[in-house]
Amino acid sequence: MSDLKEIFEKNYSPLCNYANAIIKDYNLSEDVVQRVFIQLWENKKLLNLDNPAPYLMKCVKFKCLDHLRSKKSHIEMSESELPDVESNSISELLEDDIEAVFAFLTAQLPPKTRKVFLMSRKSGMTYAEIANELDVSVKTVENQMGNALQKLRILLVKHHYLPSSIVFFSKIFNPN
Amino acid sequence: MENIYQILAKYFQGKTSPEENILVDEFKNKHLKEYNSLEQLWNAKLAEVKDFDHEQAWRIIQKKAIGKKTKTISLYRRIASVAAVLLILASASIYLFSDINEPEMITVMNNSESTMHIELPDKSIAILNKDASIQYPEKFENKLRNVSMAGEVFYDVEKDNSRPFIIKTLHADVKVLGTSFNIDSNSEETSVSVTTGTVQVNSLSTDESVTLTPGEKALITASSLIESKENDDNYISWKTGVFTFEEESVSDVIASLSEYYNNKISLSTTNDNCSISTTFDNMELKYVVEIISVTCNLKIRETNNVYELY
Repeated sequence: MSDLKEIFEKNYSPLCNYANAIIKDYNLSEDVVQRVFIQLWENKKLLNLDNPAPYLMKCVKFKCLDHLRSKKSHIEMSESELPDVESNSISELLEDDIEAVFAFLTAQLPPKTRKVFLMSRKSGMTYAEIANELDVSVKTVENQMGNALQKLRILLVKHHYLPSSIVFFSKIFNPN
Repeated sequence: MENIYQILAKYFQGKTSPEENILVDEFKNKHLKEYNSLEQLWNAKLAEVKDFDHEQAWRIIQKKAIGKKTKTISLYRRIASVAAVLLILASASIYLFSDINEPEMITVMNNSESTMHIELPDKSIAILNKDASIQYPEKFENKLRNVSMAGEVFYDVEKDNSRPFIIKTLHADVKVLGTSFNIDSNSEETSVSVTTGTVQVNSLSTDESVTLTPGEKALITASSLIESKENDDNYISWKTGVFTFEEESVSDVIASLSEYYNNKISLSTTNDNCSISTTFDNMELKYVVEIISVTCNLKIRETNNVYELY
């Protein structure tokens, strides 16, 4: 049991990153996440979830897909119904949006760790190049890369992100 | 020594040695699911990631959500004006009441090079080590005193049997009535060491609880809770500035001192035969270095107040 403000603070930025990976628009992403919270404002069920993140992601995804389907501007966006607070795991979100889940999880890394991690993963820089760019030692870069994976592992466990279902889904969609 | 996560990062980049590959295989065998999902994430197509400002957004949605309520009231007004007045009064009091129920949260991060003393609303004291942070309400509620933290913090909690004091970390809730103790919490683990009184620790992952008394310690990770004796005499030295060593190797001594002295002391010799028994009580680094150098017959190299013993 926790209060809505606490849930909001923890999840706002990660959810905006999640939405942005789907609809590729920072302003619209913020709008989507804010609309979800306004709709859930007095939803007591949300406060009773052990870990509300997977449900919130589902609501955000729902609204994002709604937007992509209707291609309406955010001013006209309808107040569509949100999904039920029931199945509560990230894994079923994975079938087509691992990119978005990645954004959601990476947004929760500490700033320095995230910076190093993205420089390595996104910009493809070597440890030496990153160390040089940030004026730190190669050892520090190695530490931060280790931190990133460790923190991601903790988040994966916390959000019941089960890889068996990834295999399951990838088998369904890519039989070979 | 590299930890498994550093090795995994290198492994995903194809840069590990055959020996390291064995360690990766071991990890894979033990934690196949977690390994698979980390690999999946590593290979994911990469989205942009940036920070969004939640404080401003909270003000916006609070306004809109409350605005939604007001609309409902104006509808009632058309039906019966007397009822409307009552409703407006009621909603105004709900609005005021909800404001009282949601006190402002204060977040303090210690970005300085020294420790930071904070007095909490109930007069309890929190002492933050470098890089530690703590979040607490401007005013504690009637029944609970809740704070959240990360990094290393020493607490001296005011006694109040009617209001437990609860500290939330990534891995555990630590509950106390009035006592002093140290918490060190990073992304990997949280450790709790008690100085006086008793402290109850509840692990978030396993939901186990232990009660600790002075001299005892609990270590909580994402998957376990381990209770033990606190064998490190220096677990609160970062706060007191007093370090006591009993027959400890020079490398252990320097490892203990290094963080406190902002990494301005290091050892670059493989000869670790010398052991040290002494107390440094808030001593300036240059004297600490001198004593170690004389005791262990090491030379000193100094550049801009950074000391290397060799």
